[in-house]
Amino acid sequence: MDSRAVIDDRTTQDSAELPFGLRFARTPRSSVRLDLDQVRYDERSQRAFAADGDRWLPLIDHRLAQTLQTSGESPREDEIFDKSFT
Amino acid sequence: MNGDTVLVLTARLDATADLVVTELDRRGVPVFRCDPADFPDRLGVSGYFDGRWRGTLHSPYRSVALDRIVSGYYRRPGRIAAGTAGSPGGEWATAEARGGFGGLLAAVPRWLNDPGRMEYAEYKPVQLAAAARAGLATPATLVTTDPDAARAFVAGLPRAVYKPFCGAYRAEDGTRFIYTSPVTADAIDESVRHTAHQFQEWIDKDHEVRLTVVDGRFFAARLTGRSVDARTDWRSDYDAVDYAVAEVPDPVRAAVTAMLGELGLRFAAMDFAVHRDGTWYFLDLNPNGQWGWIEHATGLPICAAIADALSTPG
Repeated sequence: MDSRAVIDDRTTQDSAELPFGLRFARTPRSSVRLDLDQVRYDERSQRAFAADGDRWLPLIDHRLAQTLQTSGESPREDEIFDKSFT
Repeated sequence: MNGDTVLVLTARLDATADLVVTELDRRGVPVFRCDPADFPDRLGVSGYFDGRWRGTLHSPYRSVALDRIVSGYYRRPGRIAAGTAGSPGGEWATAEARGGFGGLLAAVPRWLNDPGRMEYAEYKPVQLAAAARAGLATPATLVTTDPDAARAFVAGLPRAVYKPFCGAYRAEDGTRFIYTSPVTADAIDESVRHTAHQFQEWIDKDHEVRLTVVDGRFFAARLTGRSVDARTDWRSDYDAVDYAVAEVPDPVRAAVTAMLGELGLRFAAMDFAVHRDGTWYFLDLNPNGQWGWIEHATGLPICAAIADALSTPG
């Protein structure tokens, strides 16, 4: 699984043209860059799997799952298709 | 798919939905999982009404009889959009899809949570008012576009924070997040006029509690931040948060029950700041909040409770 922690505390530049609240916007301290080729959705079991070396593990058993479950509104990825059918 | 079935509306990549599907599967409960965003190309429906809705919901891989769907789990699905943006008739087709297909989905019994109720309950001003009516302690709050009002409000408090209504911001170079942030009166300027801004009393807390409620079952986790950021907003520094199971005081339990009853929610992820004097201050409620990592960190059986709620006849 080619995912890695990314730490970046950059904040949005202050600008009088931007709403006040956006001055507090910042990149999450820790996030995962997700390689979509390493994740697939299995229509039969109706669950996602993540590549782990030469195996496919249920996503919920993979370390990636913990990141996807945390409460921050992580960027959504809705384009995971079952590659076994393509 | 002929047995009594749980409908799960969610995106393909949703680890939290995976947890629930796995648990239902372990119990032998049939599940039909789909994303409404796939309608109509990869998801179709034919519904016949003769006093009750019959017919089928089908994908290229499976189908389910509408009258065998006994409950629904609404877990952050994509939006129904029948036409591509700008295509001839696309806007109209999308409106029809939402009315027809979305209407059939809305007619499914026993949603956790009902999508319409969630939309209403997501409004922070609604939450604060409902919490106060139910008897929960709440922080003083100002929603305004007026810089003078904001400065006066903040200056009148020992400490104050700015809190967004929507925490994510898509900038040109990537997504940013806006966490609860300390604010002083002299930092407030005319840019407050650009949109609604929420300022709130800072609660001098000992710790926070993430309370997950499922059909009247309470799962409380104590969150203690080990960094300045985590103590201000634990979402900003997950690696510096300690977790423990917490007890919910009876008066808080009663008030939460009343609040969720008023809002019509069977599930809620609620955030409390617990003051040094022991008072639980309601901060926030997410009717579709995350809970998987809380179960992972504490062992609280939230997934099993959700599976119970979806598979037990009402």
